[in-house]
Amino acid sequence: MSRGPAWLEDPLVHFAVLGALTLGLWQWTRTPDASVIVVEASRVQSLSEAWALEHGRAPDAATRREMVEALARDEMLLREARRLGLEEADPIVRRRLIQKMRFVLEDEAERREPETAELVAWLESHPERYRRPGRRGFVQVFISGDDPERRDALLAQLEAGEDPATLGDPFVHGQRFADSSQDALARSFGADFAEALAQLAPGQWAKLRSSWGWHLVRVDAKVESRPAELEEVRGQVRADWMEAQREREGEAAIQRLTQQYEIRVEGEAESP
Amino acid sequence: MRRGSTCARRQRPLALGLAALSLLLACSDDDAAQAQLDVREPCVDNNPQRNLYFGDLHVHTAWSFDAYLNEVRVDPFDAYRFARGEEVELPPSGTATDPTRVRIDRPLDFAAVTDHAEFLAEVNLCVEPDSPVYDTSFCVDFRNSMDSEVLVAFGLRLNTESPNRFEEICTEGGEGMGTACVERAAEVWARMQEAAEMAYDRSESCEFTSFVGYEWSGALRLSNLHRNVIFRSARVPGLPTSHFEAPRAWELWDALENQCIDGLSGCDALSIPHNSNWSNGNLFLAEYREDMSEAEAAAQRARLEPLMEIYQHKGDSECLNGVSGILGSTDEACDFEKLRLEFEDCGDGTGVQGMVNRGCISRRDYLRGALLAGMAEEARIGVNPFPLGVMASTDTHNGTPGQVSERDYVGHFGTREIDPQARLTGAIPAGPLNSPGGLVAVWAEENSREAIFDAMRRKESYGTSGPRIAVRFFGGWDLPENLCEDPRLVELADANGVPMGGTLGEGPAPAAKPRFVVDALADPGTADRPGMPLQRVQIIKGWIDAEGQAHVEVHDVAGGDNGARVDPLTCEPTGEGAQRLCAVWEDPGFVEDQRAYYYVRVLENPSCRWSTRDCAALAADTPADEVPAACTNGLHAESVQERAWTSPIWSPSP
Repeated sequence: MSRGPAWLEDPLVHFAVLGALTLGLWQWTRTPDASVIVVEASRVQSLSEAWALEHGRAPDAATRREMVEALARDEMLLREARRLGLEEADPIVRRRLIQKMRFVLEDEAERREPETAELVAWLESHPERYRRPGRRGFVQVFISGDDPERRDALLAQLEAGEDPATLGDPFVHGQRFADSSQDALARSFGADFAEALAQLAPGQWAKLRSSWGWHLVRVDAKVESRPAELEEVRGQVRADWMEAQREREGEAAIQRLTQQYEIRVEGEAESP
Repeated sequence: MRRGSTCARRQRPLALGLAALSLLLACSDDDAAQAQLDVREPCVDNNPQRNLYFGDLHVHTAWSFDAYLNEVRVDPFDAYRFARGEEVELPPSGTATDPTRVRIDRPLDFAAVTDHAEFLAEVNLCVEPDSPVYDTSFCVDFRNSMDSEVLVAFGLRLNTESPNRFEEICTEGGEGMGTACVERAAEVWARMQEAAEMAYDRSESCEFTSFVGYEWSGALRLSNLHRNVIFRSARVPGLPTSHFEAPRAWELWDALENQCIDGLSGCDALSIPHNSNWSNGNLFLAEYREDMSEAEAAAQRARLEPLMEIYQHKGDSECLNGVSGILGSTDEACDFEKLRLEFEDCGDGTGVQGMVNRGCISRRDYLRGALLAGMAEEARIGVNPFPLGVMASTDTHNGTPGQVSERDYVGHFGTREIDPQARLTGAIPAGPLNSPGGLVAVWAEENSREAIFDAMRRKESYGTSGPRIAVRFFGGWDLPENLCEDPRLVELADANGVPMGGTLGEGPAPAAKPRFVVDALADPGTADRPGMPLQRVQIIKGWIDAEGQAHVEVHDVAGGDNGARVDPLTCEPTGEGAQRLCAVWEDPGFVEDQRAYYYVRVLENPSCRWSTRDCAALAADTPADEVPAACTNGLHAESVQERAWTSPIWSPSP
């Protein structure tokens, strides 16, 4: 990550930066001499702006000096920590470096668009993930709370052919449901309800329980769940394929790296 | 970009304007005519009485500078996959080196990725290895940054009236200032559109809707003025309008009208402001541009901004006890997810620096006061600039739309909050005061872009603090009194009244009083985690009296204080609650000719807050002196009453 252009190492540039408050690059510059800490003018400028924003006035010279000294102290401590190799032992630094390296490997891995044949193969190897949910069209009468007597009385009325439209309690999602998908029903009614509804035979009234009360339900239309055609789910399949490619290529990059290393366990014979 | 070779990368647009769209079309298998009409199959579950859909319309991914800087690598493609139930990887937690893998507890019906329009190009130029500025120290710094300094430097670009892009990386090959960034922004924007297109289910199943969108991130003097822009279709302008092109909000509205609504056939857009709680009275300030009349300026705002985001990671914007200028009793339920514990009152004025938790807080920073301010303007100039409906979202910077459960909270800001210690001690902006954010709910005929967008425009929408509470709310002069017992509730209420977001108009007789019906169902939850029961339903009325004094009253209309509690040690709830609450309510205090608004708040029984769960987990294996102060200082609520807030109904008009 330390690919800096060569001119950053040039002492003349350092001199120029030190000498004048000009617009410049905004970072610590590493110098050949470890005992010199260069604070770039633009850095001082951005700190001053931040301070001004917070306090409503520009920092005076003493404040600017304090800010620079605080920066320099941090840089000095960082250099000393590195000199002592403290970053080697710190689990958080270690973790971040490992994570960064993963990102670097993933970023550099080759990415390409999948061919249609690859999408078809992916879809065929993950049929459950893209399965089109079953659908049910149904009409229901809702009974708020748990009142079995009322439920059974209403069921008898329905079986005698009464119009469901005026029976039972209001239900915020309504009484009539056109071809609703199993997944959507599970989200709005709860998974158990949706599962039980899926099992019902069409044309007959049945009683189902939800967390809110009883539902007298008659299924009128039934479409069973089926495997998806590629064109129905192409966007999803492509996004998943791309994600899998990212993981695969990232892992492949780690594997290539692994080949450059040898693992030895002390006290054991050489690992394969 | 992380997702390698694409059409957008192969072809770089030389002309702007429609360049991004033509790129998108070039990428697609469909022919241009089809995409231009934005055609889709009719949805099989179309319901004229409207279905309920839950979504998240405020989502940042690695393409937002502040998400990338916190080591989030989830991109827009991943974010939509997450919304549909797939797993994504976040940075490791604690000393772990494996990614933190997260999955939503149940998929969403719709979502929009709304990355910051500002710096879309700059981020991309700094992270793409083939970029001409990849090796500049600016970009090296950007990629390596682990402290707040780069974040601050970017943020500071967004709070002036004449903002400039970073010259270091936006001026490529000696060309004019900003050219390289504008050009690259068009490419990234095309990719954002492509991600939305990939996720959108255009089949008759209508399983999922994506929206093309972005966030405009203006914040003058660090008072938050941010807006999310949501487009109705795939027909969108060639570039997102950022703070650089449009430093003031009305310049954003002009751009949306000129480049989209009036200027591009088939294009339509909404702008949704958020975090007024962070705006020091500036977001809902009746202050107008000078190049048109006040009434015209107010009307433009009302046209473009029908909704406000009432809740998200960075707190609640419904109401605040103790703020001046509004008469009414203390409302205990207002003490919910406040970003600041102490504040100075702006009075009638404004302040600065809300985004760094400074400056005063205004009554207009909260829905109740903003609605009142709008009505006062209506009385003054004849147009209400703030006839606001309600929605909520997350503002996740993890690319995880709808990840709203208190149990699954992994912070909202990458590494900065990924482990419990970090989020309980954090300060961006408020660590332990941040929260998992909420969801937007809409009553729409079907799960398509057009139906959901139109529901939002007519404000038949509401927000929740996370749970999927289902609530209908209607008002009218002739609503039947027995609606809570009549299964035709929706049909009759539609015929005799208006749904949430509507206006009552004048009463039929001088003595007439408006009547309201609200019907709410508790969240059914999932198989593993049943939802919490409801505690009460409230109707909140706000009005301005004949002397010009603003009032707010809170009425419990169903349920009430049921004594329900939650044990902060075990998170076990005690006490009964309701699975369904329904009420018909007539306003006893209604006065003819007095402007008023009415909205509904539904409260669940109390449940454990995320911080209580985190603290309990830490207590088990952390030395006492390393337990974060937030766990012991008593400043943070142990429990929350999750809730839903509906859009208001106005009488007689907004």
